[in-house]
Amino acid sequence: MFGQIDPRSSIPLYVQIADRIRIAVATGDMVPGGALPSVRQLASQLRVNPATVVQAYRELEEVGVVESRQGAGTFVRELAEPKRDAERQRLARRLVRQLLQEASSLGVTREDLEQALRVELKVKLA
Amino acid sequence: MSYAIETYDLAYRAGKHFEIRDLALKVREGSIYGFLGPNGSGKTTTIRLLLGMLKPVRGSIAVLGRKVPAEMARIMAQTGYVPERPHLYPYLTLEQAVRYHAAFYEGFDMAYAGELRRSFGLPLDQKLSHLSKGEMGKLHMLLVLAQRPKLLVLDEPTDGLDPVVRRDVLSALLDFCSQGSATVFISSHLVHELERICDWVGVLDNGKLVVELPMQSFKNGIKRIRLTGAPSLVGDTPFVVLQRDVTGVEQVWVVRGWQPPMAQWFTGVGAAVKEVMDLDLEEGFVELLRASRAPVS
Amino acid sequence: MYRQVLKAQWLAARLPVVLLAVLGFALPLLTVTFGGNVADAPVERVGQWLLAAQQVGVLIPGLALLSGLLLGIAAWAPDHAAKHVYALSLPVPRAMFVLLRFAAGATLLAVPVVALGAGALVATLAVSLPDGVHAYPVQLTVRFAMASIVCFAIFFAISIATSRAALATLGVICGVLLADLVIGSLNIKDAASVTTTVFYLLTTWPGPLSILVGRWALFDV
Repeated sequence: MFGQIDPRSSIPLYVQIADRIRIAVATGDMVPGGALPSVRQLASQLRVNPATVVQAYRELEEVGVVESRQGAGTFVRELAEPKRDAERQRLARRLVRQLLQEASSLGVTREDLEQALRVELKVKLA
Repeated sequence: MSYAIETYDLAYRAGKHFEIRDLALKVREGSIYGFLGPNGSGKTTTIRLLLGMLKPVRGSIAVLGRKVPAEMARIMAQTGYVPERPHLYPYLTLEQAVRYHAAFYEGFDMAYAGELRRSFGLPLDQKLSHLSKGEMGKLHMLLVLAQRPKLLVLDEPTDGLDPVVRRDVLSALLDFCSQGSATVFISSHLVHELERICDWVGVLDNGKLVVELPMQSFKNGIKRIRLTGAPSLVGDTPFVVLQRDVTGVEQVWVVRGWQPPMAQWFTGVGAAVKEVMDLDLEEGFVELLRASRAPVS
Repeated sequence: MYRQVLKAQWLAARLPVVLLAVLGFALPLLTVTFGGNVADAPVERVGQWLLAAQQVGVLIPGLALLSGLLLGIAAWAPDHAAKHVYALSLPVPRAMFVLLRFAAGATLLAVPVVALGAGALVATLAVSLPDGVHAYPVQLTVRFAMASIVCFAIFFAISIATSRAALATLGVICGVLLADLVIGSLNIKDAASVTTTVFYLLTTWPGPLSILVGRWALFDV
């Protein structure tokens, strides 16, 4: 799930981690009530500063995706169906925004993107 | 705010030239502080000064709230040190080396040492002289972590180690950090490694501390800006200009300490900002060093 | 702490200690093999035998010197190799660590001392002595122990120093010898040799090396 988080990216590490968790929750990879890895485990696994993991978890708690229980750890909150849809849509918009940003910095035009989308989506559907 | 390491006006000379000058380090308790610098910048010398192995020409050093070198033994009882070059006795076996080390530290956790040894896959009865570089690196980390120290001073702990070993060593280090509030002072020229684990960074170049900032501020604050219409002479800027490429219609400036509202300054001098680009830590580091060595025009 | 330092020092000095122990055990026995059965021998024969015993005895302070040298060097060799970084990074004041190393080295010295004592006892039991001749195994062993400690202390101190200090010591010794050469070549009347004077001072009580000179025989009148 966490794959390669990229410290070189302009996106802060804690945001990258939080995003992965949000995606996992939205796609159902992480179920409501399920436990997140402990700060210790995740920091060691990802080889990042534990404070970074703490920050990611705090961010997720603030937006209501997870909740921390005293002594037990951090758990995925029970989100109602429409909320999960809204979450996915929010994520989709965020992905597109990132794509557009990267495209612009690489000099890829809107037309190039549209063409590529058409090709890729066709391949997917086929 | 308590500092695990604090130096003031520290200077050291070896031979004719000053190796370290005006060094004022402030390492916050509980932080993972990355001490960055090119080879030969004085990182190892600074560490030796901090641990009382060298005598400074002037300045004061306080580690864990105690004065160096007056209270050295008490400081070292709570400090784990991994030096740049191997320093253990090569004729001892791994088990003998661990027992020897343990005898000097009151809170040495033998059980934890055993756990680490197993997870690192280190053989008990192998003489240290027969260990590979990677195994030696793991052993050093094992010894200092099992001390359960308040402060870890690591001098290029992963230098020369292959990526797999580096990963194992850093994982163990971060696992230890997550368990408590230890401070880590880690020197390295491997910028990308420090990028993920450090929350503070101090850059040393030619014996002087060029910057000391939270990692996030450092990374976010260094930007490459494409712009047009800037005047050739500029007065005070709200940011620090590291580099300016003023050839051509479009200029490229590299600045430090950037914040988005500062774009207003450019409009104020009649310039138009085309793009603000992020630099990763390595690029930022290179630009910073370049600027500190050749003051910008 | 002491246990571990002792263990580490033993592991570093295993070979020399065993070698010294073997020599320590063998030397007193050599005294016996030189003579054979002298219980009923005529006086001149006994005289010759005692002389032979004394000649072998000279080797014993030599062994004390060797023990001190080998164990003194072995005490610091591992630390020297890594420029004392490990020792200096331990939470022990330097003076304390030096003391630990000294104590460990002195403990290791006990091995050749005990070996010599054992050899002396065996030699004494193996020989039936003529009237008027006595054996001094205990005194010999004690004297050897003290001489060894003195030599160990000297070489321990030299060995701990930086190469600069060791070179300085060597330089002083060379300087003294050179001074002697010069004085000798100038042919000054009644001039005392510097080397001889220094030697005299060191080896006569209360000089530190006084314990090494004198008669070192196991058997004597």
